[in-house]
Amino acid sequence: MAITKTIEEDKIEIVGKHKNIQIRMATVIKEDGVELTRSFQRKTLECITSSHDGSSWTHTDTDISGESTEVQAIANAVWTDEIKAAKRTANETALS
Amino acid sequence: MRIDGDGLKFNGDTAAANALDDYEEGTFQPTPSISGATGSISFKSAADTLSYTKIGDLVHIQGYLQIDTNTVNGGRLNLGNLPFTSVDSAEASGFSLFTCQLSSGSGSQASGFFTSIGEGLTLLQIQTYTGVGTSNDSAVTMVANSFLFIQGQYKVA
Repeated sequence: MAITKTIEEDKIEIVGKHKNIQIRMATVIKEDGVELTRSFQRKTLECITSSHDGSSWTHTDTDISGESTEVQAIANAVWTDEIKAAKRTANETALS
Repeated sequence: MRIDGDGLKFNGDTAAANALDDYEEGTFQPTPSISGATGSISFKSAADTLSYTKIGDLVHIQGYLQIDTNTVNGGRLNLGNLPFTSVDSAEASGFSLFTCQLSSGSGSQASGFFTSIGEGLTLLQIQTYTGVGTSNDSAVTMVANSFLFIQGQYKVA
């Protein structure tokens, strides 16, 4: 009887005008290859993060070096300079 | 009741917009950041996860976070990495308000927090509620070991 646990990205979605990437990770427990349980953990990636220290804004490109090659490829394809510029403007309005 | 490519439809309804098309539950780890000041807040690893349930286009999140370290000199706390992107809808109709309470904090929060998710975002903002408005100084009250209880719903894109 072999119990195995794997974590896999089982859903990747691109959402909204700023191309947020939504990633669902499934933790799958199997016994002799038969799935017993599947539970989900999610995370989302925005193309930039923005912070305001009280006087000025800082916008930083999201670090995707720790993401899977698939997610990195998607991010590199959809997070264009135009999308990042639009997101910077939107954040300065929404997060002020 | 019928099931088609749009999802589950009730009472003879045929409109795609009214179909129940998704259900999912899971967890996520919110990412803390500060706006309006310098410094940072971190959560204890044993209390840094919230749960979510998505029913159709509505996501409910709940749970509590425990502050591990706090080095801020002011500002408000933002929680990023929400499980889904909020909807961007007409006339700010996608804006949502959450319930958020602090336990074992420091200072006065007599009127509580104004906790919201703007449109098209994966970030929740926790501001101080002054009774008639908001101010960006919520983070200083969230001292080490205090608990932040959060629950609420928002519509997703």
